[in-house]
Amino acid sequence: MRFLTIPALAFLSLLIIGIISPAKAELRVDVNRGISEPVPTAIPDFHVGAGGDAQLATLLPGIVRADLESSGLFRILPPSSYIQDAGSMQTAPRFPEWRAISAQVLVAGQVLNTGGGQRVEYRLYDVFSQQQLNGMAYNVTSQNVRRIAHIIADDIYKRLTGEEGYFDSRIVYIAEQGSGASRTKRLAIMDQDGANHKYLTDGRDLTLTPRFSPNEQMVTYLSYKDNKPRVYIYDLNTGQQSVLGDFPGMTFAPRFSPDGNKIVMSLAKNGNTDLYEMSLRGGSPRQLTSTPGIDTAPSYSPDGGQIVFESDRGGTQQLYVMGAGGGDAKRITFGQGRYANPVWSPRGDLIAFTRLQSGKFYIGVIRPDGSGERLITSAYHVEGPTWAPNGRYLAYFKETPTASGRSAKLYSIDLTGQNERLLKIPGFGSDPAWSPIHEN
Amino acid sequence: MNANKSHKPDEDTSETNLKKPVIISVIIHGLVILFLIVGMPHIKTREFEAPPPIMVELAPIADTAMTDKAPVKAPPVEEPKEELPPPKKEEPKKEPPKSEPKKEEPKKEPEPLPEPEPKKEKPKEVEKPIEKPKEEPKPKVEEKPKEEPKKEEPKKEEDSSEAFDSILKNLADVPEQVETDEDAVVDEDALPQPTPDAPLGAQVTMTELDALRYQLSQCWNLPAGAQGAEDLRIEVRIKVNPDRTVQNVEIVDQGRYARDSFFRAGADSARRAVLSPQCSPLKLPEDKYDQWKTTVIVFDPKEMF
Repeated sequence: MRFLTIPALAFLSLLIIGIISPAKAELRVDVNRGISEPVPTAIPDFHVGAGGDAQLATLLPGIVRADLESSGLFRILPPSSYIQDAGSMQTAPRFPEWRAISAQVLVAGQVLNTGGGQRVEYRLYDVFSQQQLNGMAYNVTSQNVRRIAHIIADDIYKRLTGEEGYFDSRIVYIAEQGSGASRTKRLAIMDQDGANHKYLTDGRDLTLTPRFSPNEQMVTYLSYKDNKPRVYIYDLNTGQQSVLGDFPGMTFAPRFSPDGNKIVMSLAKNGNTDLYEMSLRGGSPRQLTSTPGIDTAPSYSPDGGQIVFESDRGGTQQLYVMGAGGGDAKRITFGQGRYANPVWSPRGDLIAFTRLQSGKFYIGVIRPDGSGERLITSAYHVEGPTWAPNGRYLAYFKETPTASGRSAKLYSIDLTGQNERLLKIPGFGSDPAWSPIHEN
Repeated sequence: MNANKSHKPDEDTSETNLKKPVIISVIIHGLVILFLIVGMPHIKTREFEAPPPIMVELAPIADTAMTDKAPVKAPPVEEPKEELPPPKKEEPKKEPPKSEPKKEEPKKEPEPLPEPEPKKEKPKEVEKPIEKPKEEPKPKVEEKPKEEPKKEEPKKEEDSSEAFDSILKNLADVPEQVETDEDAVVDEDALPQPTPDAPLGAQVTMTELDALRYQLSQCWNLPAGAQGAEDLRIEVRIKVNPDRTVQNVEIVDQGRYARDSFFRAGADSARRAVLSPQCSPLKLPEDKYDQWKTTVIVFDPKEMF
């Protein structure tokens, strides 16, 4: 018996091994790297359906193309290379034809009249898996056509990147004209892509550092009306300007709180500059800091719980974070040179800033705990970062010395440091401030 | 044993003929001992026979092993290279439509949309998700082999060295980045090729897995720069045809796909990677079909951050 059991056991174990191994036959492969390239995207002109406006069918996809292309994440394939026409795509895209021109995603849309007005429909397809990823319809009028196009671009951007879009947003900035003493600086506003540009103030008074309110209906800024620097509020609906509070000293560097009910700013009094918070519903200002030196450029975290600001209390100008109610501040930058203009990202993960070191300006980002500082662009003079509403892009201004003085222009850049783009403005400009995304 | 044997005669003293049982006993004991000497090692050897194919196959790693980094031809000495512009993809050529007998025929109009509300200035509120067209053209399995002519010649793989730099630019780091092996040049000859004479049913080797891994890393265009990109981990299960084209892709975590927009975008990019014409056919050893007919690919960009 004994000598039977050993081979039996051996046989049994072999059998068990034989049974187990098919179970782990599924091969597993880890892919830990990828590439980061713009996604080849095809967006043909939209199909003109029954009663559809042919102009819209060209205008809408044109705006969508420009938006997506400007993000740097999409490469729009030239429409002349498209094989399938928009009409036949309304039934079904012929994916092999789109694959043949190396498109990976495809947008097919049409404009039609539903009786109640023009309507645009679009569908987003994944060419390789031949699946529809998204599909929406919007009512469109000649007034809102650009916004609808931006909303469609935001839909597509979100579906393909997972992040919120930012195309349906605006930028307010300081338009500059003339040079030297005759230079005017006035408030201007435009869509994120440069369309619908208009001046808000007449340029009589020097205007600086505009900032949007969270509901995008107001802009707060610094103006030298009657040669007295004060914080003002501009109501975009009424065009009214009003001074904020009545302070003995000069007020500057205003910014809205995330709930839109308060403004935090600097007040210079008796040779000392501290941070104050002012409710828009009235009441007296509340002092948040009281150290000797200059505390300025405050910016709230998106949850409203903290404030980042610049201060020279430690000897050099550095960034500090404190609770929104004041109190102890924690220094978060320790690099050489000076740090300024901190702005908390709308997604909360980073703080953008300007850094001046060895005669050169940088735009950088850092985590709120002071780790992970990264400088993403630099120039002779680059300053004033502002976040796109999705926290993925930054806009800022860059000044280059020219024969006739200095000329400032607006740029945007991807958080990764790639894709720096010149923003379209009629003249020169500085101090851009990106709006939140449209809420309604 | 011996004690047992030596006692036997004493117990049976009354018996006159002891010789026979003793002989039998000795023979049997002898057999047992013989078995233990000869038989046991034999069993043992058999037990250890199973692994050798793995051992043998693992040996070549030293020669040709590669990570999913591009093989390095020579370490870039001196001459700090400027960051290369991202590899340009070929301009889309205007090709005549492939004669595709399988072309999806117009099926049905997209589902009619619900009536729009008469809101005017609030475009957001009139949005309605459009239903999928009912008859979404199903990817046909038989269609895949048809695209055979598009199979890439190996030279399709371009130098994508920049893809291996961290995708987050930091001006402060620039001087340090210069001399890493990131500027590696793809040496086609160094790419492992499936060994045609591998034993039937053998395991897919590390080298072969590396080839696939490298191939897919060239096709995976992930949505970089987004918040939390470093925590992305996407498993896709693919069913592969014997000709190494992908028959079917399944995103394993459907729950997260449905609720997490960022995961969904990443999973779509992973699916595009395995279905990409550039990555078809997959670099898998043809003679080991049983091993890879179903494969789980885990996409996790941890080496990019």
